Amino acid sequence: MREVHVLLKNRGKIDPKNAKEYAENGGFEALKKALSMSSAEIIEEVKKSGLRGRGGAGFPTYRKMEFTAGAADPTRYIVCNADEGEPGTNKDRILLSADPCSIFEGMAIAGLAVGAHVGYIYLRAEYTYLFPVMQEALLHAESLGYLGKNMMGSGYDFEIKFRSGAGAYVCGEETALFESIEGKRGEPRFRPPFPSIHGLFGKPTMLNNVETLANLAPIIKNGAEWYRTLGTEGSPGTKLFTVCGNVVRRGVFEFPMGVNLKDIIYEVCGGIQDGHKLLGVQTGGTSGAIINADQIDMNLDIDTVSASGGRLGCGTILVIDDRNCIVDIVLNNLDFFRGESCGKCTPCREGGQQLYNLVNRIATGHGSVQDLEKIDELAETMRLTALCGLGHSTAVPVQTSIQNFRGAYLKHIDRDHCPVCSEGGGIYR
Amino acid sequence: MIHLIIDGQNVEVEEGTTILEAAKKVCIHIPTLCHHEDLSIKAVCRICVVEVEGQRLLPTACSTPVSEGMVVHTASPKVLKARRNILELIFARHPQNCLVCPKSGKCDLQKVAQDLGMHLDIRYDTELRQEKEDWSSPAIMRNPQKCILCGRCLEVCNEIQGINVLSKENRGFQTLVAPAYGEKLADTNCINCGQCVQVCPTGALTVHYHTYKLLKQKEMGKKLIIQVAPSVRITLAEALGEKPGVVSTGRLVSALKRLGFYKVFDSDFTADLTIMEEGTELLHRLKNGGLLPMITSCCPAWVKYCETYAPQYTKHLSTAKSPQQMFGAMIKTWFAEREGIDPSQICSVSVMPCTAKKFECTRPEMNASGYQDVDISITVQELANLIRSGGIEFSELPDTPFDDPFGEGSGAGLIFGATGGVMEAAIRSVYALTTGREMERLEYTEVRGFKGIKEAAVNLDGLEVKVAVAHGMKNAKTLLELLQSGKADYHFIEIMACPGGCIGGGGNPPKTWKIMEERRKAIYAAEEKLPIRLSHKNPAIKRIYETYLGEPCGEKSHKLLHTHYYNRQDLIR
Repeated sequence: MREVHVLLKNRGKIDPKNAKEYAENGGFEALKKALSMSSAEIIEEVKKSGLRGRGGAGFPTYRKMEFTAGAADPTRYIVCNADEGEPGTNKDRILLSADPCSIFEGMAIAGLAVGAHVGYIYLRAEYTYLFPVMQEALLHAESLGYLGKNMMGSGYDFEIKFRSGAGAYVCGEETALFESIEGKRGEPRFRPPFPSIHGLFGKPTMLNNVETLANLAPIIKNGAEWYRTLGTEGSPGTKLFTVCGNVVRRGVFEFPMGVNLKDIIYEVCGGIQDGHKLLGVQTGGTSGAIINADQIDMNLDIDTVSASGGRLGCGTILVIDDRNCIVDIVLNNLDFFRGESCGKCTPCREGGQQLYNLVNRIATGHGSVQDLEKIDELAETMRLTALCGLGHSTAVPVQTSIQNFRGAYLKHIDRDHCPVCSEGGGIYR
Repeated sequence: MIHLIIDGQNVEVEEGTTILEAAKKVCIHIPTLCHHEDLSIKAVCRICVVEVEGQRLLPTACSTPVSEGMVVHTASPKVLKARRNILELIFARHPQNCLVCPKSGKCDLQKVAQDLGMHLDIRYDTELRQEKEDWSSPAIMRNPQKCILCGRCLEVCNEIQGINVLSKENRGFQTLVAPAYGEKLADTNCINCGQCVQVCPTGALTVHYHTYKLLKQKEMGKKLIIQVAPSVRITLAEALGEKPGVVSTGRLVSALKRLGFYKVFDSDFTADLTIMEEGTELLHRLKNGGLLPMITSCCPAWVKYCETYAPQYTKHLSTAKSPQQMFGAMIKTWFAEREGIDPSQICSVSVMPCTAKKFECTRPEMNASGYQDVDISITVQELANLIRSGGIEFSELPDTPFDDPFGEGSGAGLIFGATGGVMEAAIRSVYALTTGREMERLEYTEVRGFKGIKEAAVNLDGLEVKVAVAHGMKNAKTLLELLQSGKADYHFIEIMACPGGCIGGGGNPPKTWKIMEERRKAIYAAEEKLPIRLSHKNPAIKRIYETYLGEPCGEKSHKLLHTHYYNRQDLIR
């Protein structure tokens, strides 16, 4: 199976700091074209392309553009969400380190589409070592006249600024990210009002994931029709997949949407390490569904994965082999969530801890079947009532793993033998 | 107009209305915890979730605006189940000792729990915060274990008062609202205004109660002498369950007598005394090129703010003590002498609408009598508790007048309770004393009302005196910035820390602006009925100057009725 490189076409082929090399490889052609188009034309092209957000929710990008472009306030912002905090995900880091100019170009095109003159890149605190590379690339692109004031002689200014937080996972949530840029504690805001009306500094703001913005230049340059030749009807284009866990070959791969999960694991990544057996797969990062080995013959596009109860999310694939225990993995997930909850709303702050306590009771051999019911009710409350996506999705790995690995939970409840958890002596822990 | 259906009821409301407000229109009450009608929308407790047809999740009624054709269910099984589950989560982190909680019976969390019928055991592990109660501040008691992180106090302390003592620490389950660096409240720049106490829905922030200390003094056989602040007669009945704005002066004195107070005096008297001293000081400053503007000093929260944040302005503060402290000094000197009581046997008590008064009476320099001038300051809420525990049927009490010789106060003294009152009282007397005639209309409405900063100019026969009034520390801060930038040339400024003045003080029953309006009307209506409405016309005041003090700002006054200030800037370094 061959990868299809649209977003990664420059990876390892150009000097990321050198905007001239980027331009020589077809860079900034899309921006040049966009500068000759009207805002409505750009949005129409994006609409025809069918591009959907790559950060997790899969929201149609053109609609965000329409909302922001139609806002009453003339001061607007573009924000690039580079707070790639999802455990096991590295795709945005690859894009930003290997081809930063493609992100700048995407942001400038987005700026033209919604009438913004300032864009912020909010970089994950752990990625701040990328700042020098990005800074140099930006300065170079500006010195060559591609970006910044009066882009390519068009009279349109687009300034890009870099910001970083202090390392909270929740700052990847768009409104918490705004708060962080504004210098406040990183806590999500309630919605509505939505960011396209009341976003960064209270102004209409379009926030996109790094990968979404990277798609804009290829779409404008080659046209929506070309873009639709890639991927599926509902999810056109390519997707970056970060494969991690117990596979032979791990890394970031680019495939058209709709690629089969089983093929990725066994053909692209060389199967499971050391001849072990596949136990399950978690797609979409920590907040994604955990499916069992029988369910992996699945096409990876936004709608198919959603229909199966999980989500494609940012395209992370965690492969779990039989050296692991699912209950233990879920407990690990919950430990992450309870620590990363911002503490603002009750269901996530208190529920995250209680969900951990309940699963922990089962994992350590002290649980009961009633605990499974309690878990289910609590998970549902969190999903329905939490303030932001973090609280909503804490429940996903728990609920799906109980569905798909009920046996494993019952084994722990019955104090039956779990080869993984009993390792090291004692009844579990 | 937007049309929607809430629980089967057709509702028509204006665009931008929230589901919560729309539901109220058709007599549907949606429970809330973090919501407060005078504060911004928080949407963090999630108790007010409702079901909206066509929406996957349960949105919060407090924050979600209505839309055309919306169909809302506010009490469907799905909604009730979620609400109960959320409450259970809160309970698992909240002490279950409601019976010994000062907020019991007045607690929003308790109310919601009762409304939702939380009668079953909590199914989760209960784990309280490790942080213990903080009794360090004489004004406010903080119990972090009872905090439900609604964020109301944060808004009041940081946005409305601009003090920034409380903020959130840590995240997730460990989130805590506390003073920075784990400091005790008493060691911070907290100005003791108690506005956080006013909005706290649970017992996490309460008045630091001194009722036990008071009973102890009684037990020891001390002579209890109490002074009653102007606002107390406005808000006490409300604290005991009557409607806002009921003035209960006579009943209040009866109740205090029954509680065993030897003498019950009226702080309106020392409010008049304050006007005499402060007014004279102002005239001195105006005539002799003294430092202007002069700023009032009767609000102890404002005084601490000034000492902490703007020590360069303490020279502008009137050196006159607050009415509470003037009273304290007079009781243990002149009154003790006259009655032949050993001042050490007097327990001087004040009942105030204020939490900061508790701090003020412990200031070390407040000992003009050789003893701590005011021993105990209690709030309206504490007095209400004393009356209840004393078994007194407050609503049925007959009226009793205040005791002599400090039982007489003028209307000018009474209006000290509302923002602008001190200014109005001062203008009335200063005008009369300089021009030799009374103002045509005593009601000086320019400085009345709840506008943040009020300005006026009074013509004293050719001498134009520019005045300004600010209430709420954010407004006061704005005013100070105006002064700092040289854009303002006022002669006299009144500052009260609490929004609305003392009737909005932290020791009162919880307020809203709607309630405040009733209190404000009540105080001015009561003032109009008083026979004497000018401080210098108060015969008791005349008598005290003739027989004891001599003249305003004279030698004796200076010793007893004036004070000095500190620089507390270190608190914010």
